[in-house]
Amino acid sequence: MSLLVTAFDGIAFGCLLFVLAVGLTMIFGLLDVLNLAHGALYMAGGYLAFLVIGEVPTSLAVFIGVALLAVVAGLVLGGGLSVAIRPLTRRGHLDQALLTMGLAILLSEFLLQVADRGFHSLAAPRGLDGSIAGSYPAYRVAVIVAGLAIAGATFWIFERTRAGALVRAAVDDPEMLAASGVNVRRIRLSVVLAGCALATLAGVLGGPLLNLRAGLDTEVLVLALIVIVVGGLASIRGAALGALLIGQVQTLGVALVPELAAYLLFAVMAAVLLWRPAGLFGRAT
Amino acid sequence: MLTVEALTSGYGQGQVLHEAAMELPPGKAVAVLGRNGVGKTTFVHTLMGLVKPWSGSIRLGDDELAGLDTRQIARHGVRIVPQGRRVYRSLTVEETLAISSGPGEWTIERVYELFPSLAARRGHRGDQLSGGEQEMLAIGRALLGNPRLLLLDEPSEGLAPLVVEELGRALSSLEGMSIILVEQNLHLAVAVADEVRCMVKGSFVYQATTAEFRRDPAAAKEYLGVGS
Ligand SMILES: Nc1ncnc2c1ncn2[C@@H]1O[C@H](COP(=O)(O)OP(=O)(O)OP(=O)(O)O)[C@@H](O)[C@H]1O
Ligand SMILES: [Mg+2]
Repeated sequence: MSLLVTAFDGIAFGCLLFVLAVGLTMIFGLLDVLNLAHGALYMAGGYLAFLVIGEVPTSLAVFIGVALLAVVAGLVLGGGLSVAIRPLTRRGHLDQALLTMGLAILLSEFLLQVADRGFHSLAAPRGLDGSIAGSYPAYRVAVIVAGLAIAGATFWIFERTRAGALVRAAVDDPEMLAASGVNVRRIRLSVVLAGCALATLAGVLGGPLLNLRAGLDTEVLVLALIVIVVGGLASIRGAALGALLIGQVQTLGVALVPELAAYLLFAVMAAVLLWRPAGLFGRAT
Repeated sequence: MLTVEALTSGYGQGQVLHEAAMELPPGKAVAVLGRNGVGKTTFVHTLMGLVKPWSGSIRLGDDELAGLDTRQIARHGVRIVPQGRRVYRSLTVEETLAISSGPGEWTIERVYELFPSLAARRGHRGDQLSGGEQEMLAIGRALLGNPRLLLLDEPSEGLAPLVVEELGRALSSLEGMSIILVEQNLHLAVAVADEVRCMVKGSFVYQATTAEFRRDPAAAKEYLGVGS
């Protein structure tokens, strides 16, 4: 029974990781930029919610309002990010890593200055602060539902709409897309904005699950990086499967062999990469 | 229609095009012939803005294209069917055609009429198509932009003779479109083109009508290294 609970926790955590990682993987696929500020964006969402509503339970409507506010903040920060990385297009990955890491430090230090360096956690909104089926926290079920809804919407847009086809074409061959008269730069900007907004949204969703604290940004960034490496870069399917897998490994690991949990993550990553060097859904190029 | 003058370009320090010049009469198809590595792809890529011109001029009608970026050049009505086809691997035939379709007389249905075998594969992804189907898709993608100028870079490369024949018929039916056709397949080139230009070391050194070129086996031998 308690294993089942842990497995459910793993699904909830995996859903959260998907919302965070899908933007990271798409930004990498489209711009060839590994956005190391992605963890700090997550943190920004969480701290924004903390600064607005504190640690007390609010109504669901207020919570959703704060989540939308975080989305707006993500769009704004995403706009800043795309301006900042523009001069670095076609420069090496190292330059981009240094820049986005620098931005991450600036952003997370700023957040810790505005709040404080202590531990905080968001309260689940009223109505979702109880438990379901006897003892399982309702909020975790809500995160699973929200994560699946976001994943479903992302899939649908990506696989079934004209906008999604344009994004995939821009991943496959941006030059040929430009040679068809399409504004590839605008597509890239949209993906950066959407990816950053999802990251800050994840920060709000995860607020009641993971404590807000210094170092949270790197922690979730590392998890998201493992997810996209395992899943295969620039693949939404990969991000989904990778997130569910890493969510399970992390939660089960912490529950069963706490002292080895961190190693377990890397062992799983190494095993997947030995089996499929490009990740589960990666392109073998 | 298209007037290219003293066009130079290359990669890094390495100059490939040396004062390349050509005129394309409106509505005509011109074949560009030349051995491997003389700069044919570099020429059409420079026209499309995929390689930046170093100097020279590319005039299409009243518009100067040299210096514009690829998207702007596309908006002026130039389309390319690149060497190696470069279809979007994760898009279906239908999706590729849908995102390439602009206002004008070319419709997705018309592309399917031109290439019936493409219609049969409309739900397949680019990376699931045969080489011939990919070529047809790349041509359809370009036609849907209703080009004033169509650039084709070795469409027959790597395709079986029967498929090349089908392509030849399709391309010949584009009568009246302004086309630059880079080819190493002489049969296809003379079947489709009204005129012929030969390139050596990044410059055009020979020009003739297709009829003249047919009567001049020495030219084919000299510029392409083939007997006939
Ligand atoms: N991206 C590139 N970077 C550097 N050099 C290049 C690049 N592409 C081509 N070249 C060089 O430019 C020269 C001309 O190449 P180009 O591809 O234009 O020739 P081509 O006539 O199209 O040849 P082919 O018949 O093999 O397609 C060659 O020497 C080639 O090595
Ligand atoms: Mg070539």
